[in-house]
Amino acid sequence: MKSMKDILWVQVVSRFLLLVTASVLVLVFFSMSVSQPLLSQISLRKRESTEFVTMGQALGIPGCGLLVQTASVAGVDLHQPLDKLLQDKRFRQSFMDFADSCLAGESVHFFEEVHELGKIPLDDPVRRIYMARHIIENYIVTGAEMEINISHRTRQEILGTLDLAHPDLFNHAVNEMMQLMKMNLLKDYWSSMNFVKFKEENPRQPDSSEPAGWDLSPRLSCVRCTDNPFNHEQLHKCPSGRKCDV
Amino acid sequence: MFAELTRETGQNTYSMISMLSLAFEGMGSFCSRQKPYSEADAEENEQAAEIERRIAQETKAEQHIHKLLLLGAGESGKSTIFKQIKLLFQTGFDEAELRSYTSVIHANVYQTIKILYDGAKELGQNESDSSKYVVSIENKEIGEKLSAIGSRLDYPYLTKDIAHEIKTLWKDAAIQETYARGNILQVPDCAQYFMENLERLSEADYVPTKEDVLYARVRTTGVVEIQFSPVGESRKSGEVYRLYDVGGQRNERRKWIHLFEGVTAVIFCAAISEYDQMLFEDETKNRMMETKELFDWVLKQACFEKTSFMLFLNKFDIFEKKVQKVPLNVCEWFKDYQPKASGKHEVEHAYEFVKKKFEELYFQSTKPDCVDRVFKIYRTTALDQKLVKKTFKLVDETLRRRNLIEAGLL
Repeated sequence: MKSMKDILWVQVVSRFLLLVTASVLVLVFFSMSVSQPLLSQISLRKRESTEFVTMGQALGIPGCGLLVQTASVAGVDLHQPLDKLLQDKRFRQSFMDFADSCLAGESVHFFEEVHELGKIPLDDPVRRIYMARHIIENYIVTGAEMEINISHRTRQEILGTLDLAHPDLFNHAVNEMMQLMKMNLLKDYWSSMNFVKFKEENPRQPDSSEPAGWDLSPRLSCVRCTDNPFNHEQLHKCPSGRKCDV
Repeated sequence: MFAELTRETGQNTYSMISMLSLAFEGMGSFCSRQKPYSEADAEENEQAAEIERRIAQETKAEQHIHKLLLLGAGESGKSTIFKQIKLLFQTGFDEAELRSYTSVIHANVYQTIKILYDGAKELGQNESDSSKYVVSIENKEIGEKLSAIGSRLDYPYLTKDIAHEIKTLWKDAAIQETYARGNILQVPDCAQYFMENLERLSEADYVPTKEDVLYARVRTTGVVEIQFSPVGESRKSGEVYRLYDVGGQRNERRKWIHLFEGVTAVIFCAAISEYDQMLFEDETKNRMMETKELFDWVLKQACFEKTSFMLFLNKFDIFEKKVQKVPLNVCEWFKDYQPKASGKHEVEHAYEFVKKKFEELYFQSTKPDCVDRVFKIYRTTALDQKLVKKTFKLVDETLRRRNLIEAGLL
């Protein structure tokens, strides 16, 4: 009789202990960072995306990041020099997409980020330094993913600077990139599908003329990139009419 | 009693584990994103089949397209070869395209004179015999003005007046001395050609000639491609080449990897005249050493095990002139060079030495199982249209023969 009671008692205690241990282990598991993906799966709360797309957004620079649909003014004058053209958001986006599609996007991205750096007022050196460091890490440092094509001297100037908040820090680099874009990318852009699309989306006055282009854009029309560092969608059709994989 | 205890614990653990696993599974399926289940429509099936058919067709057509890559360090002549191929096998340059190079050529002129003037100032400060690099007083003002223009974003049109000033500065003894030391500055190879043709370049209605376009220097960024069919019998068999041109500077090379699949042949351009020059992107590195390491790296790529390699030892025209003034030994790779003769024999001897070095490098870097891949060396001057045409004909023959061998027909 006594042993039966004992066994029952043992049963209850052991089951209770097991339950407690299991719950503790479960709690420990979910508190570790390893479980984050699982946690995000089973979370019933709607997750708000608090991630910023660009450094500019993270620093709170006005008017950067995604394309803002502004009231359509009279069309962009395409005979302006490139640095003026790139001030126009729609043109810049179109040109950036073109550059990304032929693996030359870092120049335009760099230009845009330096442009955003320029919007930070000079009396805010902390934000300027953050932005400058971000640009240097992503575009200037040798081996950076979006390293730009600049001369040795210009690179050393930037990497060796003592004042990261200086307004003219990236002037030489921007100059070199502008020359590169003007002489190399711009000509091919005029005869690309991106420009055709840009013209369709931004119809201009009938009297304004277009820069001369010719039929064949020699730029890369289809490259199978499984790993596109610029993370942009490619909307181009190959000459054979086939849609390109990304 | 102990036995009872252990049995009991065992049973409990087992039931606990099975309950927990059931619970997790349940949670998993409950939380996994539900994919929309689309009904299989007869029409959709048909569309899918049509797309499959088209893909199969195009893949088949694609197999006849031979992929050629132009690789090499910066300023090795890849884009010039690319332009030559366009001239030879495509419609060539029409007037609109020729005109589009005017701004590029003018930019080259402004950039060159700025590099030379700034270089003269620098050499005048740093060198021991600095007096020979000091520009004459009259030309100093011109120099400062041109240097300022050269740093602008937009260059003015090259008028007769400016051209005259540039010519005057170019003729200055200090500038000529600086040009003689051009290997330590980043003076483009087209400098002399454009400086000598300034009158023509500054005409109001100047349209660049084909030669001007070939000399024009633009750093390539990203990737450019053309598709062409070499003239001759291959036209009947539908042989098509797709040629890719890339940037050669270090930052551009990380983009090359996207092009490495399914390459028929790599045309590797090595500028043999650059044995005494430093890189544009790293002035502490010798260009020939960089080319040597780059060639080694390219040869060792796994995806090029079956790829044919055509090595273009380019800029022979500059090499010819330079090798008589600057010994090959200044480059570490060529330090065991012994000059034999002089004049034309010396040039040939030097060229054979360089060629042998590249051959040795090739066989060192090639794994035993890749020994049957094609490797040919060609002496080129990318600016010489006849030579490039002849060279490419040889390349084409080699590739077609290779193609037939692989198809088992030879």
